[in-house]
Amino acid sequence: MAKVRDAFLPEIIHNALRGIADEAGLFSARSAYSPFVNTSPQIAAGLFDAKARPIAQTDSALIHVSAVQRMLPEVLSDIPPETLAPGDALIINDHFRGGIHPTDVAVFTPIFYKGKLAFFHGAMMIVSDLGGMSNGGLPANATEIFHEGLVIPPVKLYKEGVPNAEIHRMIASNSRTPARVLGDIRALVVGGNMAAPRLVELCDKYGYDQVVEIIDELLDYTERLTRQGIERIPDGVYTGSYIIEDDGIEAGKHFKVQVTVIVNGSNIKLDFTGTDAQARGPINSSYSQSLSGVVVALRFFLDPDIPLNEGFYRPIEVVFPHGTLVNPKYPAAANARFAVVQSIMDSINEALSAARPDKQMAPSGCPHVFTVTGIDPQTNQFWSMLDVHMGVLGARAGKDGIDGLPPLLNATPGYLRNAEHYEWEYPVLYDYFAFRPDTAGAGKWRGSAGMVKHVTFNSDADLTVRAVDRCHLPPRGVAGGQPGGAGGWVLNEGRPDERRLPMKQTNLRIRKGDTLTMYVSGGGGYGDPFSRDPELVGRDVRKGVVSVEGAARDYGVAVDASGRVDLAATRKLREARKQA
Amino acid sequence: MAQRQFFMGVDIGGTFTDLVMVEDGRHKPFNVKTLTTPANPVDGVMNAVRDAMAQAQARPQEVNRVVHATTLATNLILERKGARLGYVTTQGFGDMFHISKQYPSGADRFNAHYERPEPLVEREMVIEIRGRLNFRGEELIALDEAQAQAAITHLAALKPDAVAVCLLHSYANPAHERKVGAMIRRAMPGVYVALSSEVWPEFQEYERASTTLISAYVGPMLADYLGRLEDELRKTGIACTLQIMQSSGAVMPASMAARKAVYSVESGPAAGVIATAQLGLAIGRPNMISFDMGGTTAKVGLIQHGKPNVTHDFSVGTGVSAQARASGEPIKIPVIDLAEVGAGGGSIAWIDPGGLLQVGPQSAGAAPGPACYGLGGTQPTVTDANVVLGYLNPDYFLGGKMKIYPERSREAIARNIGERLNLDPVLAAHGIYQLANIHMGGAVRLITVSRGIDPREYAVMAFGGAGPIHIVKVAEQFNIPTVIVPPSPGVASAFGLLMSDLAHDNVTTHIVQCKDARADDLRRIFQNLEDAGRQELLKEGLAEKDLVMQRSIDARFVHQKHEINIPVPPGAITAQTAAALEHAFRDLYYELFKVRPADPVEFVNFAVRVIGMASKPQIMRTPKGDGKASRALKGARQAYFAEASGFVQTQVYDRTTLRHGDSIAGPAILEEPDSTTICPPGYRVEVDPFLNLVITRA
Repeated sequence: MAKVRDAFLPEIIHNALRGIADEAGLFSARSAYSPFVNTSPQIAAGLFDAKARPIAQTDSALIHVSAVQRMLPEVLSDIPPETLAPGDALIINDHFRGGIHPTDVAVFTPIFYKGKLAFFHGAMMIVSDLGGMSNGGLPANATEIFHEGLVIPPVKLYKEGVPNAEIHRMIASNSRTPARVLGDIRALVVGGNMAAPRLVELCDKYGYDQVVEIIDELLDYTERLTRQGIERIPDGVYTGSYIIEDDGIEAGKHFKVQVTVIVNGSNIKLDFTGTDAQARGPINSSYSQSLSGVVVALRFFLDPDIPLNEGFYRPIEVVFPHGTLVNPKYPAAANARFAVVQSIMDSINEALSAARPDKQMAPSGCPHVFTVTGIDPQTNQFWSMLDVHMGVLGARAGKDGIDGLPPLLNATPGYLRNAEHYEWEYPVLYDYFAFRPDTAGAGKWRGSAGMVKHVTFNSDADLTVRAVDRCHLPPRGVAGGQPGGAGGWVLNEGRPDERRLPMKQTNLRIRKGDTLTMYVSGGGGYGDPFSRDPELVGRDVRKGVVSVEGAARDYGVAVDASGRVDLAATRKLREARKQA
Repeated sequence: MAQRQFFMGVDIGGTFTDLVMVEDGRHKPFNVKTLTTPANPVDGVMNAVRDAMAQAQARPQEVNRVVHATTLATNLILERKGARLGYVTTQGFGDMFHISKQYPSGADRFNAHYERPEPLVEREMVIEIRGRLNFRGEELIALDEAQAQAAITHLAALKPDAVAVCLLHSYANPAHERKVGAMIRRAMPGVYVALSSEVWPEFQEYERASTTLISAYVGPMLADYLGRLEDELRKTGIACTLQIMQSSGAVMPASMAARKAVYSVESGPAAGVIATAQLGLAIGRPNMISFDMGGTTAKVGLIQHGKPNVTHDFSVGTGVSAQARASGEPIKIPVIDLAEVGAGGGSIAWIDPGGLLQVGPQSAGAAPGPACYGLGGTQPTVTDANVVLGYLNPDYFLGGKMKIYPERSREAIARNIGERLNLDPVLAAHGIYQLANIHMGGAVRLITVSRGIDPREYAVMAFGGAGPIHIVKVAEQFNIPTVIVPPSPGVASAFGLLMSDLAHDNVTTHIVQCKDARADDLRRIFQNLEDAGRQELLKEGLAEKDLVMQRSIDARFVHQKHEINIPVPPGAITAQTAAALEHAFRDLYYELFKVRPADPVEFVNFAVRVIGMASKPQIMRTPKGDGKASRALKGARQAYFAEASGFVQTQVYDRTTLRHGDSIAGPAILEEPDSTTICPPGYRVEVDPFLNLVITRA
């Protein structure tokens, strides 16, 4: 006998669904073999109802939140629901069919209740390698989807619980790391295996009809909350834009993302007309990836507790012109899309800050990733390591950036993966990981300090570096703030064979003993730095993120090495600039 | 007179210090509840000890176990009043805690004004040491002693109270850390030093370092406090060693608590959860919610299948535990999982700038305490509301031992709340009561509904001095069908201390593929861990026969980053052990993940918990009484119930004379010296064989 409804049942069902989604995502992440997922356990996963509407999503990987829901209808158009059976699992990775880039692979599991198709579980994560130009699937010089890896159309990976051996062999033989990639795909199936019995249990306990009824109510409730949030933004037409330094192919050619946001009562429209045509290089952002960027940027202006399900999308209209950076045409490459996604978010923030200045944020840095790969002479198999820094936070209206912390929505720690872990697993040694003085974008509120990491390689290998954006054109300042300090890569710094590397370079041969210095750009500043509280500058000097000279030059603050501020001398410095 | 044996449990809370003393083989414990003495908590403990000894007419040499739980470490972290820290690390890694692993979770990811908690150590108090090991513990760069000495001298001039040391790969080879530790001790005599290779020698520098850092943060004050308490106990002639509750729910000797201070971080709350688990098992209820409401906070724990949930992913330093796991600094030691909210008897009610009534998180504590204590408190508290509503008996506070002034409660509520909201003081008091209940409901929600767990499938056990006043209305928010109030609920946590065993946890990292794991190595690793734990406990006077070894291994598939803990069965380690463990891992993996990868498996961490079985008081059944609850009737007074829209003449019972089989319909008030239970209209109380009150809807 199903439990009767009481005042708390909708809340219990809602949290149970979220709990199932989170737990399934967590189990997938935990069983994954991919070095990326092992470094930052980000899996985008969610539950869908029989109509393929998202009903609950994981809390992690929000920057991919819309991908899974855009891929499910594509899968179902090739493999109709009536051909599905319990134990099936469906795989897809095409970024022209809802995906992000080929190495981000999704698996969907239909879930049956009493013989009827009732739910889907979907999970997507970056797998260890699916071929393409470089190990790990992040080739910085790709110009076509085919350079980025094997493209998988919707196919059955499992049929009624039995692995489709042919598909598995096909995938394995297209990967440099077959054991790992099969482990990753299995991890995605694990999530569905996990979610299915929990959903069945939920329906047994509360009754399928009651669960479905409550899900409908939750979607409506979410829509209501979203509309209420939009209503609190004053009606108007707001614009914003951001410039991308280059696409890794044509050095020095800038690209623009532009948005017009129209707020009209409880509806909001985001129109990206005016955005530049798609790039040859891989900075393009697929439709679903752009949509995720919109969702994330909007949540800063709405109640962040609004559930993420189909109801959230109802009042939101997007225009992503086809053939542009935000919705590229076939066969564009798209793996370095964070350049565009962060520009989407910063453009929206700029636009809506006109209505809500308290929510304004100076731009943050972009992800820096390096991959080192080689062939183990003993086994003749590939090994591959990956280190990633997600970039550091910009200043906020009334607050500094937070040193070491990546942009908030990534929800990843600054000290991401331990040196002890890397050194145990790969032939590398971490020499230092530290703040860089005078790289925080100066401002009344300063950005987070830029960072530097230094690694020595104990083996010959191929190195791919990929600073997605914002190194030549570091994160800009807002409201009179300064940009952050520039980032980049240096090979063998301080040695006669020192080389400054381009921001994006693929498969550079390195030798045992070579070193790599990774410079992460600082976050943008907010407001005039000469109006910053001198005591805060003194504190920054004590912390080692601002130098004594930098304090005078960038902030007009006279301070000694122990952080003691000389107020009289400070007044003079600041007066001098006013007169200049 | 024959030699008697007494066990003593002492629990210090923010407001009260509770003591339970049990004589071996006798049913009735001696309970003491006395005000905590915040300036010197040892005084409060000794007041309670003397009181109990006198009640029991016990001789000091007859006391053979003293177990203590203290919130000292927790409060130092919450209030950020711990030691001025120095931190010593490997060259290149001095910014680690400022780069930090703390990050926003949930709604904070979209909060443009998010603030990350500041590190416990200031950047200028961090020094870097030249010298480097690799993951095998081999020296790549020798320790540069001259450079280290100069850095340590520099740090010494900044006058830290405590220094934490974590060098890269010290889990594999502690030599550099030990040498640096010795240099620090020489340069800074008397300064508390914590080495990561001693506190928690597990692979992964950030977590090992933060566990060590927090140990150093609370260490000096904890060591000082425990030293003084032991001295005072000695002076009264109590010779047994003092034992301290660990956050895992096991206890450790005070000497170890002083050295590994981090293990006592969630000491207080753990005892109540242990008590609930034990009492729940006795009454055949393995699934329980524990609800502990003291003077300062309310703590809610979940017990499933008779066991409290223990986590190794606990974070501290951001206020209420369990609410924001991603924030705070990680401590890797085992910790009982709890949700805590700042709502207790002493929580202050106030009007916010928007004109809304708020309760907590500020607490009046023991001094000045609620207005009704007459100790100078003028702010209205939850306790004052309970006095005004007639729930607390002014003439029977702490069994009549403490005088309270009901008119001051009324005055404080009228002046600070009623007048500002234009409300009658009684309605204002009821507002405070309801708001506190909603806050505490939040903690219940966190560990149940928020995790998709239906609280209706659990019984809730209420304790702490104030818990039984509020619990029925908290449980009602979730339709929890059964509320249980144990005997002497006000001191139940102290009783829980006596239900715990000693334990010593130790861990080491040794990463090896199962197929390459040699029995000799496994034997040696476990032997070392067992010996370390055994020695700690034998020093405590435990006999070898009372020791139980629990061995386990963290294992994973190669390429994975998350391990699963596999118990290692007792018995000799043979050439087949590794294969058997691999098999057990694969089976457990299948059970959890429903897939069976064929990939190789590797062992990562090896752990041993040595348990020292302690003798404990029995939870005893009592025979059925005559069923006439009227025997316990001691009077009646006016109490306010919303169901009755006002004050109702309510019968008051002396709980201590209730017997198994008694049944009372609400509204009723059941008083005992350390607590008061409120059974509102529409509910009924039954007394079970263990003299628990079982409250259900009538």
